Amino acid sequence: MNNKNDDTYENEIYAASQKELIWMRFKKHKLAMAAGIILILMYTLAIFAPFFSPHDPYQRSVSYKQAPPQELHFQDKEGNFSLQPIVYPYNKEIDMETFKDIYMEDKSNPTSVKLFVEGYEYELFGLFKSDIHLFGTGNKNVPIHIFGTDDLGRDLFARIIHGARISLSIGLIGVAVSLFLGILIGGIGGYFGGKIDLFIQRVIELVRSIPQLPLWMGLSAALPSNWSAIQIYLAITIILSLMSWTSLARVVRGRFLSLREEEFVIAARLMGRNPLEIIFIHMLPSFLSHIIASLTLAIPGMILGETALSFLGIGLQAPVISWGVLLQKAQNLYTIANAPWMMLPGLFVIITVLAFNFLGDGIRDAADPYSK
Amino acid sequence: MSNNNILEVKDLNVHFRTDEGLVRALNGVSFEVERGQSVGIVGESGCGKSVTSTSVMRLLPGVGEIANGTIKYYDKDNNSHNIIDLEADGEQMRSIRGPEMSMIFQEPMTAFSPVHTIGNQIMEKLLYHENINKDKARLKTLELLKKVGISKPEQRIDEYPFQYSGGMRQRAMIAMGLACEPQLLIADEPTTALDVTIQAQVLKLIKEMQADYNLSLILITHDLGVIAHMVDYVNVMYLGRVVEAGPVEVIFDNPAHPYTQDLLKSIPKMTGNKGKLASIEGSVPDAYSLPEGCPFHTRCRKKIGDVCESSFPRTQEISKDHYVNCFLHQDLGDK
Amino acid sequence: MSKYIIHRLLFMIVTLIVISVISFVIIQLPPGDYLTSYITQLRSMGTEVSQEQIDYLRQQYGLDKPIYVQYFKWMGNFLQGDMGFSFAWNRPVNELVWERLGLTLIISISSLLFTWIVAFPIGIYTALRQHSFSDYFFTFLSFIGVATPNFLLALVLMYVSFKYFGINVGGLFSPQYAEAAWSLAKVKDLLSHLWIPVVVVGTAGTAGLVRIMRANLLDELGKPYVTTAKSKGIPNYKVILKYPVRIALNPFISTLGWQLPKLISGSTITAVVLSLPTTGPLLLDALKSQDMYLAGSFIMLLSVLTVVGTFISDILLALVDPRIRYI
Repeated sequence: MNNKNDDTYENEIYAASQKELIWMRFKKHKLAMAAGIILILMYTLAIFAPFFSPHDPYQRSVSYKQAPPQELHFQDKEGNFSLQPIVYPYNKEIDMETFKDIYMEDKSNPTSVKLFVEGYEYELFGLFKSDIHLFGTGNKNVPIHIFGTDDLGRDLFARIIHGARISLSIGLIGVAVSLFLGILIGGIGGYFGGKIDLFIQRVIELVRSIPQLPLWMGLSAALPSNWSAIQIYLAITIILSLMSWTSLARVVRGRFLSLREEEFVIAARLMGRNPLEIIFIHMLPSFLSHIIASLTLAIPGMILGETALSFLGIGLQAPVISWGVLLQKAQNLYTIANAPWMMLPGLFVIITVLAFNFLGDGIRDAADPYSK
Repeated sequence: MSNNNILEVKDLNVHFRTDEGLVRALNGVSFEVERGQSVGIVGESGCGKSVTSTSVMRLLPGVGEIANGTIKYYDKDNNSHNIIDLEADGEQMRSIRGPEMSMIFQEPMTAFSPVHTIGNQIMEKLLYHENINKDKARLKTLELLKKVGISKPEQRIDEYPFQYSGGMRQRAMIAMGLACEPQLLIADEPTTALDVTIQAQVLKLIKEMQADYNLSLILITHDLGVIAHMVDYVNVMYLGRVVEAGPVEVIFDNPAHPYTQDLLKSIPKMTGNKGKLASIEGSVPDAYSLPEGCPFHTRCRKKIGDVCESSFPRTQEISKDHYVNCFLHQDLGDK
Repeated sequence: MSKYIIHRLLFMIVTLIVISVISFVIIQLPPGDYLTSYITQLRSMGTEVSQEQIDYLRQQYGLDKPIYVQYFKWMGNFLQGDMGFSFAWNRPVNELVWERLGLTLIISISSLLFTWIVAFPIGIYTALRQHSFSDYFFTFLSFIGVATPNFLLALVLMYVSFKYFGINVGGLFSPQYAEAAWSLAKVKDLLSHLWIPVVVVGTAGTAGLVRIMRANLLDELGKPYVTTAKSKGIPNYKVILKYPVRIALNPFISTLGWQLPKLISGSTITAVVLSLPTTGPLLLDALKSQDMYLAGSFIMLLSVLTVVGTFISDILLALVDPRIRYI
């Protein structure tokens, strides 16, 4: 009885739970916090892409082929500062020597940029329709291309945030698949130890010693060409995760080996729980934060993989929009010399990958301050 | 000339600059070591024992700095050096650290590099300080290994630390300490990581080597049992200060400081094993915010009153060579 | 030691067998067999193919046999150096791969050396100067390096050198040497072109290794054996080079195993962007035109390269780390 009272007393003193402690340490990690905010922004942009894009990502425009980004002017014609920016539409001329298009701002037609304007109609999640967009000119004759346009005159900004839907989700789904494989295979190895563990370790080593990209290329090139976009998307995700479960499996295995000897696991075993129950119910929660950290660090590899495959033209194909598909357009020197803004999707790739790296580092440090 | 000391530490203050703030690890530590004498430093973990020894060796980690005080060392030719004035990695300090004084560390497993042979690591010291060739250094190393009781030294010299047992590693560590024939040996918890049976052997070896090489010894430990058998003179440390010092038999028979008294009570005895083993109430205060006054007042059973909380007691010689810092033994009138 | 080597050797053989199965599966994956598509192709070009010819070809490639027989036949031929026939190029695969494989190897190994030469000193420097400005600077750079896809770096380098230096950096040879026989001048020409792919392929690896080296060295610097070594009166720089740096080097060798696959992956895509005459573009073409013998052989050969590289790194690791040697 007495003991029990002591226990509750102890609990009151150490009221900060493991979760709170992790959160407290994480908050100190400024870079990781910033990365987290950037990622939330990215995913928000992706989820509500039609709302944030002033133009339909598939809408072509003959008079705006490969037009450079339009500048937002915070000064009106008289040079007075105004908080509401102004854009000028482009007039196209053709340089008669190089036959290149030259776009000049039409200063006679200043159009102010407005918030929550009506534009093309879209559907969100297949649930409700709307035609309100975050920003735009509200004037059909004056487009606003803040990132410029591609060779068919499609708005690059709209395409990038629509591409984010695929590029950002492929990382999550891929990681989920490799998480399952990693926990299952790594967990079995770490839980049983001995010969099974040795075998699984060899399998992991084996997979790691195969050069990823050529194999990815081989597998994705072999996908039937009559598959639908969604089938290809899922297949690519699975191909990506087939190779990348190994690092997760290694983390899980290492943790399991050390957890195996802990009393609560032995107790669960003695109580006759089956191994899968012990792995998923008892052992997994005790290093969930590690798993989350490793997951976060595994997502960039997926994103880079999709980008690389699509870039090479053997991953996702147009008309699907992903960052890799967008970057396909920036493959030759001619394009990037004349339209360097076509590399902007790459910037999004870099920022996203960096953000995931920083976030993952932050979570890892917060989850286990002694493991540096 | 009457001075027969090899080491005089006076009013040593050492600080650690950490992200959480300044840690005052040593607050005016003073003690002396005579030639051929063995001196013990005891105290709970965190009291500054190891900081004292690493300060003497000038091996403090990057965040530690000696704020003030003197450490006088008298070398083989009886020239005195103030170690604090020397550059930690300078030539002069390095000619003292190693050939003049050497150190035995607590963890014999991690104190040796895992990827170099034991022989290589001992020979390195000889080759660097003595003007001899590799064959000669190898012969000397073999001799040393034999001396510390390692069987088949010809084979063992080319083995790696992980092939040695814990006790053997500590023997090899002692051999390394003895290379270049230093005058002063600092043993920092040399037996803490070893099995009890091995402990006795290693301590016996240290004692033998001390006699053979006419060494002065500083033995740092939290284990009063070890102190009783090994040293002539004891310094008891608490929170970065020496609170009591005296010849070993005086300290054990007639401890004057309440802390020393409590420490002695907490040793398990073979006889009269009745009732609970005594322990000191409370725990060592946080090093970031040391208590005012006598640092022990938060746990002291014999606290007099406000005076203990406001100022640190002077050092008082209460019998020959027996010094204590406690208001119980100080005439409060002259305060 | 010998037990360890035999162990690794056996493992290497098993890996190679698994990889050969995967490669064979990739060859088999496209619908129909390649002979069918070959014949369709020939017929579309107006060449008359008789039934006898078809049967002859079928027999030659064992296409009338069960799948496992086909595998063994393919494997047997592969081991004898016959990698099949490229229907797209109308030439034996052998003739196509070797020079390209050689150039791939040159780029990968040069990138590895580049990675080490750059990452090693920077890693040591940043660890010893922890929390200094240069530490943060290099740490930041290495983060960017890890996050930038190879091909994007290639694009940016191409853009920058074109825009500001007016040079087109694609290819491995100047036009006059591209088809020429090997000579000293051609080697020189190769070297002057090599640096861009080497930098591109090596950057991500360098960035990763700098971080590994820094973290390892920081770990090792705090270990008790460093203090022990200093207590012998050895100067700090000697202590650091002999002990912690030496131990922090081990991961460099042990990561060789997965550095190589990464480098070869990296060089594949970089080669496509920079249009280098290496395996990458050829593999891509082969995959796109479903020239499966060529593609499968490439995947197989690239994997063999990495597996052998891993085996070598395992042995190197045993040589430098006694803890492995004495198991």
